[in-house]
Amino acid sequence: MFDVFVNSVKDIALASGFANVNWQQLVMIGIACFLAYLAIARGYEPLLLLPIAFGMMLTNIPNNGLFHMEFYIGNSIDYGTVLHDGGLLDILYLGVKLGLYPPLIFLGIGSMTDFGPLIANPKSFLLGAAAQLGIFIAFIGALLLGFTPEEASSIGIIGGADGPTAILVTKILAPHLLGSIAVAAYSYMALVPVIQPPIMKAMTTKKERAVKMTALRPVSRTEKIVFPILVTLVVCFMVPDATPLIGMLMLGNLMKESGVVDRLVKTAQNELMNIITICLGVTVGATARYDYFLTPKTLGILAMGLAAFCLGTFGGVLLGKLMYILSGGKINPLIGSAGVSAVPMAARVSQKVGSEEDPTNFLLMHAMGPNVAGVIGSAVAAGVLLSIYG
Amino acid sequence: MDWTTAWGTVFTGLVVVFIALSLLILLVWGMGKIMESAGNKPKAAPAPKPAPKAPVAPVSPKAAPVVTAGENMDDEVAAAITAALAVILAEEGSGKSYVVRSIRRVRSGSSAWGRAGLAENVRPF
Repeated sequence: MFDVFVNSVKDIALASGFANVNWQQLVMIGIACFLAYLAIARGYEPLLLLPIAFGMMLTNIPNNGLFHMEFYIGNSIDYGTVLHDGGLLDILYLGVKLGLYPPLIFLGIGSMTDFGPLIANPKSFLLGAAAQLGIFIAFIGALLLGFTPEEASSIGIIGGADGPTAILVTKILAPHLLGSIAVAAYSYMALVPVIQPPIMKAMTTKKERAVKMTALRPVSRTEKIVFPILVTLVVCFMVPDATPLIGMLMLGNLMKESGVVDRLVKTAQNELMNIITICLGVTVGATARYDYFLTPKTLGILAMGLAAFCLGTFGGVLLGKLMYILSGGKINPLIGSAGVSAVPMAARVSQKVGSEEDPTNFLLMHAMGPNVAGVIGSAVAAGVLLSIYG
Repeated sequence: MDWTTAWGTVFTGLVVVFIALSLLILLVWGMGKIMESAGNKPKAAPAPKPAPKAPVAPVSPKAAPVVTAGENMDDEVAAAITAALAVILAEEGSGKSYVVRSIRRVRSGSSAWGRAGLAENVRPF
């Protein structure tokens, strides 16, 4: 009996994480704890960063069988193996792999977004387009660093400042980089208030920053109802690869604006969104396993992701300046930076930088136009990259 | 590395994004114009004139206020404003009678409520 006890304890000890852990896994657990700290103590995108951090921790605990990244690498997936031998996170990850979670998140985002400022001032669309410059310049930068075009596309899309879009593109083009790209995308989105203001201030004069814009015209309910249908038809006919994201975004918005399906809107905004957020966060975090994350490529991704954000801000403000000149000084170029998406953080940054110059200047609603246009713009850019490399 | 394809991707991407969003500008702008003209049509037809302004509404801490609506204001709003005034003036205890001659909306781009809302929105920074 004693022998059985000793052998059992020995087997348990040998199979435990303590006996099998390597230093890379410990480093990853440390990084996961740091990200959890940023989410909890600093409030950096906690809704997604916290599940991502915990998923990252879980996947780096040895021998738990929760997640097998190798099931998903390669051109085809053996779904039988996933269902038969997969762990909890393998099954949940199917929602990422099959492209279900990002569009469903977009459904929730659409049901919470007010496109009124964009409808009132359609010129904002241009700012949302200009801010996508960062995606394409970072794409070239990533190629120069030695990434493949598929990897470079996934890295560039970080500049779209849109987590679900980045995840959707990466899971198709470069699934092995999903963990690093998701962490970079959400970290930089949280750091928008730190990254953007120096660029905005460097590119604008005091006079430009102090421009007060005229009040937006009121938008009728009919316009708000027609808008999502219009955008869906135009964008999805032009770039069919953007349909999952744009289609769901606009469905959510149409449900909200129609005012006839309140129950569905509440579900999309709350329960559905929250459930998907948990599943998405924890599984995306789980892809950050040490052998995929602790590579020189991650440093390249972090560098290029930052460059993409900075260049996106640059592009938006640059076009903002052009519009300032063409409008005879009626448009404040600061609203251009909100075109990078990161809703509503980037619009708040425009408001903040503008009010520093003149506390009575309220740019928030004006910046919301380019901000939501940026969401559409980055989905279109993602569709283009998917159609070329997908 | 095929740089021709890479630069082609950049060019295609930027052009398609700008074309798609420019098309949306035109359509949304057009939609706005149509809505505006549709909204203006009823104005062209002779609309019933708004009810003439109420002569005077006596308000005192003792008497219940009688107020009729001004332009674009329904009776309930006028009654609520007058009642609030009556309560405040009664609390001050001056005992005088007051008359509300008109109620006008103060248009301001930065009302106290507006400022509070914006402050709430940008508080994280």
